[in-house]
Amino acid sequence: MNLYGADMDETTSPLVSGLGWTVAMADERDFIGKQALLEEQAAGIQQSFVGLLLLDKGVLRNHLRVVTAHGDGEITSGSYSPTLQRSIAMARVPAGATGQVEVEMRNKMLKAEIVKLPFVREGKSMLTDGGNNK
Amino acid sequence: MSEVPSELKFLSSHEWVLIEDNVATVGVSDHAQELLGDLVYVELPELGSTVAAGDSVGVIESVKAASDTYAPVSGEIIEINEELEGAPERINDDPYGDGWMYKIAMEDAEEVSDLLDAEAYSEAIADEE
Repeated sequence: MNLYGADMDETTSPLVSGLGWTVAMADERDFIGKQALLEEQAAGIQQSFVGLLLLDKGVLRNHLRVVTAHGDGEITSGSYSPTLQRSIAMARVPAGATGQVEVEMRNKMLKAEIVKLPFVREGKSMLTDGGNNK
Repeated sequence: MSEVPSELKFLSSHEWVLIEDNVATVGVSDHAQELLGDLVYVELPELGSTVAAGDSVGVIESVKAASDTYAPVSGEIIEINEELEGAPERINDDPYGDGWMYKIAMEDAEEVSDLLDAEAYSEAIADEE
């Protein structure tokens, strides 16, 4: 679940924060901000909010750079998952990025993989086959 | 109260040092591992690299925090504890034994006088609490 101030704030749209589902776009009601979201949708959403699983050793932290085939993104939250015994993170990356990516940590490029959120539910891993669930 | 063995020297940044025949073995103090909590990752200096006293030479990470570790003395890294890569919790379990991090062949024996002895380190961490 996103943390306000870290994963999103007033400068990031719900559409690039994995929160599109919270906005009733199909509703006829014209709520504050609806126009802006419609314009963003029409122009094409530029980024997506994804989960990352670190394949190398280390701990992902916020603000680390994520290098994808579609350009660079940034980690918004990162930690170590005791359940998965691996480091996990949430990141905002260019739209269309999938599969394996690299994260820059202390001048080294570490391998990570874009995975579906959530990572864990009811204490059990939601990742199939070690994270290769794409 | 955390353990502070009297035969060791310390840095105020919580590394311990054992000096034997110009070789300094370095680890993290019991007090520091207790504060950091369960360690999940340790990055050690490169084997064969040369470090200067006070250099940041590695990182230890617990679930919540990443902390740099500093070289207590100058010299060449002649051995690293490779076991820590797969089992960083050794630092929690046995900070002064199996949890050692690396060994430095010292360049300047004089630098030892800049380190804290067990008594001074105990006082330093008592002040912190």
